[in-house]
Amino acid sequence: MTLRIGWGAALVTVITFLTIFFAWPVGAMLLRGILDDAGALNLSAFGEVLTTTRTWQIVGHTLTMAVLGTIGSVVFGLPAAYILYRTDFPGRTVLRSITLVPFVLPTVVVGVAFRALLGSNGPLGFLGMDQTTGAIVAAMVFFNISLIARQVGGLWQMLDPRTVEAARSLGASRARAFCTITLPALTPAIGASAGLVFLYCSTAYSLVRTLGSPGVGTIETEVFRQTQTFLDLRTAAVFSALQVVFVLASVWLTQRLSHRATTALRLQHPVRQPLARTDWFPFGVTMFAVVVIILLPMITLIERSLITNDGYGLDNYRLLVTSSGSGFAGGTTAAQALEHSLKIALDATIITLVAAMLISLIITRDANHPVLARGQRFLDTFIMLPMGVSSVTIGFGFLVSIHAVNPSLGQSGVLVPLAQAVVALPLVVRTIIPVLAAVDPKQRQAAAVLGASPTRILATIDAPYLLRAMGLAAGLSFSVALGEFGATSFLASPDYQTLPVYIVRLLNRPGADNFGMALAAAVVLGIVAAIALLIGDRIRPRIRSTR
Amino acid sequence: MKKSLPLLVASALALTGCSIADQAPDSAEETQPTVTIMTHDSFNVPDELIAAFEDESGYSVSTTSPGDAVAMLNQLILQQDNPTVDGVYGIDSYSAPELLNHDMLTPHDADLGSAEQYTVDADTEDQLAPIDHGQVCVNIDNEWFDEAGIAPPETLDDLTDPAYEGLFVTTDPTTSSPGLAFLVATITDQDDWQGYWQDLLANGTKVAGSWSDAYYSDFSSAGDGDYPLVLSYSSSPSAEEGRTSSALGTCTEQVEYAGVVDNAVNPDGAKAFIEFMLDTEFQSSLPEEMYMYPVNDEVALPEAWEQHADLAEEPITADLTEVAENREAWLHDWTDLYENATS
Amino acid sequence: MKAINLTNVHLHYGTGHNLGDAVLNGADLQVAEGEIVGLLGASGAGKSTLLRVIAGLQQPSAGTVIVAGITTDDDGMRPVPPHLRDCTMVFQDAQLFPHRTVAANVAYGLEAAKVPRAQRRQRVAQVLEMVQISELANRAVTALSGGQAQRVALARCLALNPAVILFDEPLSALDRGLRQTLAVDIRELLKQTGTSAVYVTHDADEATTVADRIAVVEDGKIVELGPVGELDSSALTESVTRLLGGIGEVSGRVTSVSEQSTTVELIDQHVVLPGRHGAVGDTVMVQLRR
Repeated sequence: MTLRIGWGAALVTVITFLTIFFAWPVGAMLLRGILDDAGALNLSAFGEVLTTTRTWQIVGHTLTMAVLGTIGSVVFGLPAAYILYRTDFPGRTVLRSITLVPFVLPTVVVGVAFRALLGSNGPLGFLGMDQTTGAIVAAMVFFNISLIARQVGGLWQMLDPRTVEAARSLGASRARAFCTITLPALTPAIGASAGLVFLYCSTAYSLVRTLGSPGVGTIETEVFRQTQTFLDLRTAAVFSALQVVFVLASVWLTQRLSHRATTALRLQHPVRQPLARTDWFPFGVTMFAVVVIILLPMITLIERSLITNDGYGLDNYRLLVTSSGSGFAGGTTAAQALEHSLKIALDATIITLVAAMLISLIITRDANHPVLARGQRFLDTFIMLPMGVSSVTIGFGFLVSIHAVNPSLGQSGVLVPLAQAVVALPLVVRTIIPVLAAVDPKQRQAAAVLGASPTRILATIDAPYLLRAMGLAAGLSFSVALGEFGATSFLASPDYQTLPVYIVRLLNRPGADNFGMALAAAVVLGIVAAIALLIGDRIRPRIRSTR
Repeated sequence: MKKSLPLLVASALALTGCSIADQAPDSAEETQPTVTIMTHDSFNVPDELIAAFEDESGYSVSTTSPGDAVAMLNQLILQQDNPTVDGVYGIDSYSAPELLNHDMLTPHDADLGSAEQYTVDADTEDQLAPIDHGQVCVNIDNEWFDEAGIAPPETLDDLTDPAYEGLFVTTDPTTSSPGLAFLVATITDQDDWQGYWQDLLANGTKVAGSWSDAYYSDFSSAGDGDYPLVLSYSSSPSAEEGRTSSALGTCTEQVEYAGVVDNAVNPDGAKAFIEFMLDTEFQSSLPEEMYMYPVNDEVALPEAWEQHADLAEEPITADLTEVAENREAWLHDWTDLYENATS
Repeated sequence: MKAINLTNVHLHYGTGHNLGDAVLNGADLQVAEGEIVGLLGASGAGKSTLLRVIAGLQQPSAGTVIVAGITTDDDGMRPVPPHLRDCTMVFQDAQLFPHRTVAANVAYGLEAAKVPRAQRRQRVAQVLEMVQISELANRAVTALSGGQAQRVALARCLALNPAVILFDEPLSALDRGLRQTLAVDIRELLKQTGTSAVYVTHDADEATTVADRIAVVEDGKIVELGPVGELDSSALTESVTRLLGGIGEVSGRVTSVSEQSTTVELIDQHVVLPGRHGAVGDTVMVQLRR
């Protein structure tokens, strides 16, 4: 009975959270788009917008870039997953850490780094890729390699090597064994992570704005344009609906891929083999990805942050603490902004972890009723929506919903970590679910027949697995919250700026010092976020029962 | 154990106090009434000035900044029925008429003094108080033109001259406010603005996504780019120590206004804040803090500004009522034109 | 008092009008106190489902289930959840908890039952001694062999001193020699502790080694075969004959005949007999011996 109440409370908490901080704001915006002044349903905008050629050019452009970005991330991420998670060699941890950094860098900063790299006077200027679709795709790959590598690698290191050995002994070549044995086993992880990457790519905003020519743009830039510039909420609602279609399509695809091969695999000790001569190909691809796609832009960024009026130096970093750069005095210093960011990110992390844990537990429960199972699938899909909803919709939505009802709450800054939690939630839930799903349901049954009540099962069987995922989940949500810009910029009070918002404001002022400070602050942000992620990655509590 | 779930939720919620507690007003301030001002995202005032205002007026100041002038306008419209702010600062010339059309401000009752010259013509009820102004101008990389031995352009017409082919980077008028100012300037200045833009694009003009993009990535002086001409502000050269200057014939005027929101909780607080912004001390902080020129004539400009931040004597001045009526149509036309020219 | 009493138990998947295939179709089973029943049956016959119903891991659609004197499932009654039944289970793949040591696995049920620490230690040591793996107490369970893992699984159940232990093909993954040794040990331990058991397997040797009595699950029903000592091979059905590994006679169809040999198709496999017997298409009786 108490457990039923527990689950009921968990469900109510989760639904309340998602309704207030996501469904309500977004719904309020969409309603304004489909209701006319008299409050009657008016869908004429759909007809108008969907029959325009430009709309389909935008959709095509979005789709093309997202697909290319996803393919690129998988092509480089898969070898990286093998090299970084399945083999062992000196420097592996360092390489792995490097791949994690891009994920947490604010997109605006990455935009600057890529332009510095690819611009006509940059180290890779000869490629002529500056402000082309190619540059955007490269930046998408830069961001997402680690996502693929981490999720696929996490599964790969758990695979029993004997299965492949069996295939080899039956006459399969290396390639055949990979395609027929390893690849199918990895499909759920590849599907799940590629689905996430596709979502990230199809909703990229700052990257597209900074790196591409402002041609037709993407669905996301169009939602921004229609909302910010024209306040044309009807048209914006149509494009938002298109984005939701994208999300649902990719979630559906992901679930199809992962369902096909969901085998409950027992968590076992990761298997790593020493790097062998035969690994030259994946190793080469990984090194290319790490050095050219990931390190070069970051090095360019660091190099430019060190440029001062007279050669190289740490002046920009010094300015971060003192804040008295020319033409920029008073207000918040970068150090203060960082402090704000850290505190807000800590709040966001706690909120995200609680919500993500409850949601993951609810989704992975054995549902004994078809209605409950359908509810689980719905929640599983619904939780992905925040990724596909434009931050301008979320930001404006908060203002017309929560803010309008309770202005003091809106101004208190409480909404910032909550909005960041909503943004981080899909990714974190996606990190926890595979771990929980890996718990063989028979383990719970074994505990039950040994006399463990359902609550005890939760505490003694699920919890240890959950805790293993918790460190990583915490690191992820902390760094995502730390780098979040879109929704934060709408909600953060100017008196309590976060570091990404501060960086963008610096970038909006003329003067070499301000530009240098922005880059230096971006480097600091990247380092802090990376450290958070790495610490999280290391925390894997080993649960040993006390006898 | 049985209560573990709810307990966990409760304790986690209790833990999330760090940043929120940090942001809550001090207990001393809580006794003071609050005045809430919506500002643009470049708003910056020294803490001492705000503290002095709070001491003097007895109000504690809270600000929200949803974005640039257009974002502020949109948000004010969305919140018209139940405003969450008392006052607004940072509405620019192009958003001002539309704000007046929506009739959502009350008279500010402030003594404008020399700021009077910057008021909006359509503002018959003293709803908008000018606070600062500036000009959007094409900025020139002086060193580049010296080395190339070419005279820099002076007017909008010069920009379509083949001599300046591939030298100019501007910003997207649909997403950047200097871009919009520049588009309006061309529409005001040129008889056939669409023809002018076709020539401009045919002459290798680049359109960047944002000001920082154009300025720090494409501009050859501040950035590492290939374009020695960039759309920026008349104030920008003050930060570049003589390396850049403005093409004064391309400049167009922009004024930023403040107002008191209708149905506000604390209209008196908003009025007091407007008085404060018109005051000498705040006015003198404007150049260094927000890169804008004071509307108060008696305030002296900083030295770097006196030297480098020249203003055009007769900037291109648009008919703001016409802008308010046509802004959206122009932007749609421009988008069509630009996308046709580049695809 | 009977340790287990199943009366007319039905179970089918699906709900409402959309009734799926019946897995249990009126199964009856009685197990006396201290008695060990071996349960045989073809794959998919419903053996494991029956165990899960007894353990409470699955609810029957209809019928009465009484475990250790408590009516756990009855039509319209709220089922007693698995952890409150006086019965434990040894799974096919042991299902040891990988994050716990051997001793901690054995202590698991005692912790749940809130047995004081000191007593718990004592009991764990005692049970490990019984199953002859005292030296493994502090090992990680991931490092155990298959036989050792099943000993831990058994110890984990015995520690609770339950009325009933259910075995779901516990030895099927082990090699034949080890299987025989363990089967003997299991019987000895069950008898020593007086624990009732239902022992599901598809290996007739194993069943006859462990159990007092053999029953067969067929079409969702339970067919009693009687005590091990009195098993009458002629009473066995064809499927059981096959399952029992070749005691008795089965009928088959002759598929090819030559002077040297005759091929006969039994239920789903062919046997080649020396010499010539009958003609192709004939039905013949074949006496199978080990």
